[in-house]
Amino acid sequence: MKCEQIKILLSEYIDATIEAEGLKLVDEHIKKCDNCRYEYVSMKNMVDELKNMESISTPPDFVDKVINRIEKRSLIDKLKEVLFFNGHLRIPMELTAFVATAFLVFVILFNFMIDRKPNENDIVIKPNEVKIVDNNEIDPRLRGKGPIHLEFLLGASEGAKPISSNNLTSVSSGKSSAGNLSEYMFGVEEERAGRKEDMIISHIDTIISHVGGKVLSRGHRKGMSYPEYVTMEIPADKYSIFLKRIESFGSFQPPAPVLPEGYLNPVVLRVQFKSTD
Amino acid sequence: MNKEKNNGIIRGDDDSGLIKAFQSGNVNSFETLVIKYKDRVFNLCYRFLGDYQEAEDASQDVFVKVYNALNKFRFKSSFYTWLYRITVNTCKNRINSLAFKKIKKNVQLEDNENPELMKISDERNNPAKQLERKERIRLIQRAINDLPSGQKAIILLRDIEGLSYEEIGNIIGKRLGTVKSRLSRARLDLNKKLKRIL
Repeated sequence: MKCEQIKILLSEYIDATIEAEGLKLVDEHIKKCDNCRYEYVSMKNMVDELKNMESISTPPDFVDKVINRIEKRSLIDKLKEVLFFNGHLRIPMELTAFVATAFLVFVILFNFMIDRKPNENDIVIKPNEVKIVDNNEIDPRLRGKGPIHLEFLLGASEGAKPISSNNLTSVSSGKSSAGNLSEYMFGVEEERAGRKEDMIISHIDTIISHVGGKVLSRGHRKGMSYPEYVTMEIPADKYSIFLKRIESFGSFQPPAPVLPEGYLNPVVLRVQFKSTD
Repeated sequence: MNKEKNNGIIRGDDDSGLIKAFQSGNVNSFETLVIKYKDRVFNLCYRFLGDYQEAEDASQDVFVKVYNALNKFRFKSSFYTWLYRITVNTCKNRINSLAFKKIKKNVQLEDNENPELMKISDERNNPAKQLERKERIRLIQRAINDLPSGQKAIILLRDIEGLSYEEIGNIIGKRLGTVKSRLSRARLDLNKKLKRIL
């Protein structure tokens, strides 16, 4: 038998667990082979040395440290027991009830808010539909807040003053107060003497309709037959025509803002009428 | 299995009773198990890891794992076999961890740091002989440290812990033939390393 095969049997030979046939082979081989005999002796010494290695004492406070670690861990485990069951999050009944109630309240309120029909005094413009004329002349505070706020002078008498919002029985949407809006005065001179304001507004309604625009909302002043303001949407390509038509009733002071070149979105305007009385 | 080993500790005695007591809610019985097996677990960890502090941390880990799993122990194997399995796996995982590799790389593991060996040298009558003995132990431990984890486990369980082939097979989850052949290869490799350094 080759030395390599004998060396593999040496381990069991030393442990005395080798079978009889192997025992005989190793016995005979190591008598003749110095190399394998040396391997056997050195391995036997090594095994004996390992068996007799001194035992190392455990640190004196070992048990206390283990118990401390377990107690610390037990607190975490207790928390886990409360929160988890079979690896799944276990939610206390009170928390479940609270979350469910909060969710129901949210759903009900949300539905109420989105289902509420606007009254006629609301400016019914969704935020993403509001388009602002991006004109440098517009007060920066106006940008992104709502429609262009214009004041429209009914009649052309000097000293005409805007109607205070406080005097209105119903005013806009509350998105932006008039004080925060850039105020452009549309001074419109009467085309024909004696024309009543409501007739002018009726004409303006017709113009809005002709240019493909639409009235979004109106606000009324107490005791007045005509609207205090009208919020409207005018297609961008008809914006200049719309202004020109309105100019047939008078002139604008100062000039209305000009749309930026290439501007295609509908323009939303809120025109507040001023009394000449 | 009640079997007395070379260090005089009797394995298996009363383990079932202690475990059942623990499973019935007597937590103190666990402390008895720790006291009974702490030296064997700590020594195996020390020989496996070659570092005193690492051995302490690892053996604490072992008992924490045992505590957490003891309620699920179903007596399909003996407690000490199960305990050794946890110990070997804990040490293997620790050796494979990046933190341990970093320690091994940066710190030369020296038995001189072990107060127990210092105590041995003081206790003996022949200081020169003890110095030689101490140096041999240090070199043997270094050779053990250089063995792959699988070989290291099988050598320690057989030659230091004195377990049978069957017990080792149960601990490492291998058949008898595999245990024998792996032990033979491990002993040849360790002997080769020792012949080089001794």
